[in-house]
Amino acid sequence: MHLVRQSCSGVRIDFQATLQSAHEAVREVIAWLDHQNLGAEECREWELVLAEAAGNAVVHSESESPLNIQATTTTTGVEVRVTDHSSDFDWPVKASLPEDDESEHGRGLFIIESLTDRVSYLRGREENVLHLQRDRRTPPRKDDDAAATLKVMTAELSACYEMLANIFRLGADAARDIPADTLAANWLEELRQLAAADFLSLRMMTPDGTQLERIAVSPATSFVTPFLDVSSTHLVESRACISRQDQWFDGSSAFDGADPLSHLHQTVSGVAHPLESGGEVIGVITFGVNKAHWEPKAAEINVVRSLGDFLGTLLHTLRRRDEANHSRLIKRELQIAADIQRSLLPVELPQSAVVQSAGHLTSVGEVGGDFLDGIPLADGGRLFVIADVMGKGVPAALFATAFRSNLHAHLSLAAEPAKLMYQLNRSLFTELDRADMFITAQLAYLSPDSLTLRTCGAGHGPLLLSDGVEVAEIGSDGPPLGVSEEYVFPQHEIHLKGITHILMHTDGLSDSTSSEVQITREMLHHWLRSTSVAGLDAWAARDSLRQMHRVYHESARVRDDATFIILARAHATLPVPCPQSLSHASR
Amino acid sequence: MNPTVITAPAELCSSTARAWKDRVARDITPESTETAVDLSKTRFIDSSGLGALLSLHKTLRAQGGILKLLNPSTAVTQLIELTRLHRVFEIVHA
Repeated sequence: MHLVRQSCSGVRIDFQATLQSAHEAVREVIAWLDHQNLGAEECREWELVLAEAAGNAVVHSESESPLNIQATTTTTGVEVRVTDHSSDFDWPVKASLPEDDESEHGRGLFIIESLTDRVSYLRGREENVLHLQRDRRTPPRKDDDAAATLKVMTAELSACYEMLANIFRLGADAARDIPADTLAANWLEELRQLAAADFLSLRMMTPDGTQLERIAVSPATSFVTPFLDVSSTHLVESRACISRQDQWFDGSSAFDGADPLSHLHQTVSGVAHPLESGGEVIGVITFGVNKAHWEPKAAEINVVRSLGDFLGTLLHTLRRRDEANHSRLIKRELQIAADIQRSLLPVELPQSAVVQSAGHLTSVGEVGGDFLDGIPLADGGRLFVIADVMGKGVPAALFATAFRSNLHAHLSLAAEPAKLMYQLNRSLFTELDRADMFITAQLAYLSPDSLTLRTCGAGHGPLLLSDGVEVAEIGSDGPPLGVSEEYVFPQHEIHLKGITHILMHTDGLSDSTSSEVQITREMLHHWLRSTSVAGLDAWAARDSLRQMHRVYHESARVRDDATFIILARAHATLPVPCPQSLSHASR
Repeated sequence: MNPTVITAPAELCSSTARAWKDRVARDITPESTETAVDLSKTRFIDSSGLGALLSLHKTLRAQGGILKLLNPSTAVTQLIELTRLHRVFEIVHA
């Protein structure tokens, strides 16, 4: 990073809102500028500019509050700020001479603009600031007093070395694994001592650019307001960010009630200095003393400005790095969670020569709340399970995992799905209730002879059966798991004679917020009947439904988990080789 | 008839212009057809000072007179030119 350090010196003259007082204030400032080795002609032109500006401030002043002129010089230019308290004056886009050559008024602003390089006028609630800048037309006169010059140069060089040493130390601190906020707090305390200030505050812009967040203060009891609205021009620190200019304040400043500076319970003076990085305002550093007036040395101001700029940029970079690391960490954790979730799914669904099964699970994002399982049981039967945890992401995946664990822990009840569902509800109720979540689920037990299906639903969509002629729905009568702890779930027993295809699915298969392009219940019925008539095996039926879901949901731009299991009565021997019975897709 | 010569102060600015203009207005008579403001001692002038000169110029013209500016300094001349008032005032360097 390249820092431009420039020594400067300044003066501030307060004056009453009278033309005579303004006149004397201008003379004072011009005398000071002359003392700063400004050329005689430049002094004359600045005198004219300031006479116009101060006169204008007096004419438009609406209160007894004193006005002031602040001037700073560097080796390359002069900056002047004239503070006024008017409410009815605003600077024109372009100052011009009056149309009537003989008009007795209306030339002041034109003179000011003509004799300066840059003019800006910032309106505030209590006061306004006219900011004037002009490059030096001639370089500073050489000082004849070589000893004095040498003394000044030595002091500046010493300050430079000190500054450089501090920047190196700050850089070294940043390289260590110190949290950004701790780094800021430590260095603000250092800065306060270096600048001989009584208080310091560092605020950084929030990522959305609307607030100034308090990062560190010294001493810790000052500046209690944690966030400031950046757009509030009546707050000194916000005003510094908006104007991108130092905002000075002292005992005569009237702080807004919402301004943290008004909460310091004593008279204060100081400056709020905006921090910039890459052309963007990134924060503000405010420092001051517990006195009505303060005339800090140029070196003290330079220390805070330069180190403040460096610290601000460093923190900005560190925070961005931390955010990027945090984002990477979360992504990695999601990937791990997704891997774990996938590892809990069955590799294959159980098959038999009589009933085939195939399933599909699509997760939106890395992890989701959908779950399916197909478990061969000790009695020769098979248990098919489909479940949907409310919500998505890691919380949903965690509950899906807990559901799976509980399911496998109570497989002895599998032949009676209602009892198993009751047990699952009891086991999971406390955690679900505490997290304000629920799970919908459907259990289907296929008897060893594959002629009977016992089902139990908990707030889930209906199970569909087709014999090629019509489609029947087996309702899901119970509430979702996690809603009623002692609920006794009903159970259905279906004789599968003539039934060729059975579909178990989650809401994501047919739910869509777009009514025009969703897969409706009627469409699912039609599809299942057609599948039955066509005599598709379970894998072909699975692929067909998966394709239909993809087409409809992509056209609807809907992203939802979609999971289903298809059971199909086998008409022939199993295909060889047997296709993968469970497909999985992530979006 | 010799012109009436009025001497302007060293600083003709917002804090002095009104008082000077009022005093000069009292000194001008209907016979003051040709009047000159001696600016040779005027170190500093601002827009208020220019306004005072314009007021005097219009008063004299209304009674058929004329106003001349005598020996303004370089700085004052530059300001008059910057504000294009050299198109209004007759400037005389003697």
